[in-house]
Amino acid sequence: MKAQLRLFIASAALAAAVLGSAAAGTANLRPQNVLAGASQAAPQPAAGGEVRPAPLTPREKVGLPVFLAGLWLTIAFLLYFLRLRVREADRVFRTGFYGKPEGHGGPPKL
Amino acid sequence: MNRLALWLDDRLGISAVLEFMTKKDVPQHRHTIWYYTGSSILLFFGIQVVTGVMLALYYKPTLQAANASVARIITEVPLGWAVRSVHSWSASFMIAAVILHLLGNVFTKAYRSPREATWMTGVLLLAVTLGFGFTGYLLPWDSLSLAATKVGTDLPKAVPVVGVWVTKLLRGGEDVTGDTISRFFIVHVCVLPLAILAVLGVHLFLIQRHGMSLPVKAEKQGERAAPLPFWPNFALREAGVWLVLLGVLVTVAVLFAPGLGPAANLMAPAPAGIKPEWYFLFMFQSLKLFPARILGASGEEVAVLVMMAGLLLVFLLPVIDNRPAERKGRIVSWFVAAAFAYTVAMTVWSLM
Repeated sequence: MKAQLRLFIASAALAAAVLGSAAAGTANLRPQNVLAGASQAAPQPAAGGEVRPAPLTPREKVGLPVFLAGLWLTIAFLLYFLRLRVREADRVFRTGFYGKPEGHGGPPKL
Repeated sequence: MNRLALWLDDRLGISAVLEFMTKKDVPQHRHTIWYYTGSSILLFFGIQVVTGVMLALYYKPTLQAANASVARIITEVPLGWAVRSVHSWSASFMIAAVILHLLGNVFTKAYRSPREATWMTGVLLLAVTLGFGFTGYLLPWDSLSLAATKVGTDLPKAVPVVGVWVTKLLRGGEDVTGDTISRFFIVHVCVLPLAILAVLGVHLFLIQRHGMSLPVKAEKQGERAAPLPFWPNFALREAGVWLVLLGVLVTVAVLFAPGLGPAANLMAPAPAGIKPEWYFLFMFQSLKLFPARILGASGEEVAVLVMMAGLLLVFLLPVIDNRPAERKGRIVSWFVAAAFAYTVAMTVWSLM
């Protein structure tokens, strides 16, 4: 149980760190920054009159992969953690520890 | 903390719900994967609500400001482009999930007795979801959305007796104007959310009441393994699916953010190459195939009536295929497979 708690805290810390770095990366993605960088004060229609959303600047183009990498890293870590929980839950279910059909390790009762 | 929980439970009866969750089982068989499509719809619906509320803070549903407000959202509002992109892509993902969910239920014959009403509410949910897509498409008020909405709201005209009235009701007049934007906006953010919550509530209640259906073959052959407890075993697996779907959605939304066309001009002719959203393409292509006159009747009228009959057949599927394991059940399965193949073929043809 303690090991699970440690794992949970570690995963939460890593997720927070990754999300933090990803958020820092996306701070530059703000269209104002993009427009300011390009010396543009108003939406600039592209060819054919279409307004294109970000990414527009090289800075933003770099920021996007950083954000996506952080996102997928976080998801991968959370999936790993979930897999451990699923295996544990399945093991408890298979042993019939909680009996059937009266509950099988459900949420804590109030 | 414990006292607060007890106080809340005394008033809300939360422990009864948790107790129910601990006893809820999910059948295990080789088609169990279809069960995940239902919860995926809930995920995308939740994302739609959150991003929709965020967009509504800046969107202005008027003829003069609609297009400009969307332009402002995607170019000036912090991360507005991302929120709009997630909203737009999540709508597509949600409709795809609803279609997959219905197809899964057709092929596993989940609409069999006593789940007829569950199926029917599911079809209603599909209709409401498509309604969200149709009304949302006009809101950016660019030339493409105007033209597509003109075509879409023109279709009911072909229905005898009430058709013209329905078109007027949808448009708020003879033509698509600023009144149509306000009308579609109210339907999009007020009427349809209330409708979907009501139908979804009944749908979820029926699922809990009847439990999850087993495919005919699994039921006959006794293929069923020990059912999996919903909590925590299945719920944890669903959480994994949600994480992956969330990742895919955000990735697609960030990499392929939709642009915004020039503001619609009511006086301008329809632009070349107008197309509706992907989920309406098969209807759009089918309409093109119908000749102008069929047996003295207008081709458009026949096409609309055929589509309405098709929708009615889907809705009444549990009544038509009331013995799914019999020969009729197999014929219905083949018919549905052919209809799906037709839909995909028409969609691809329209995209080419």
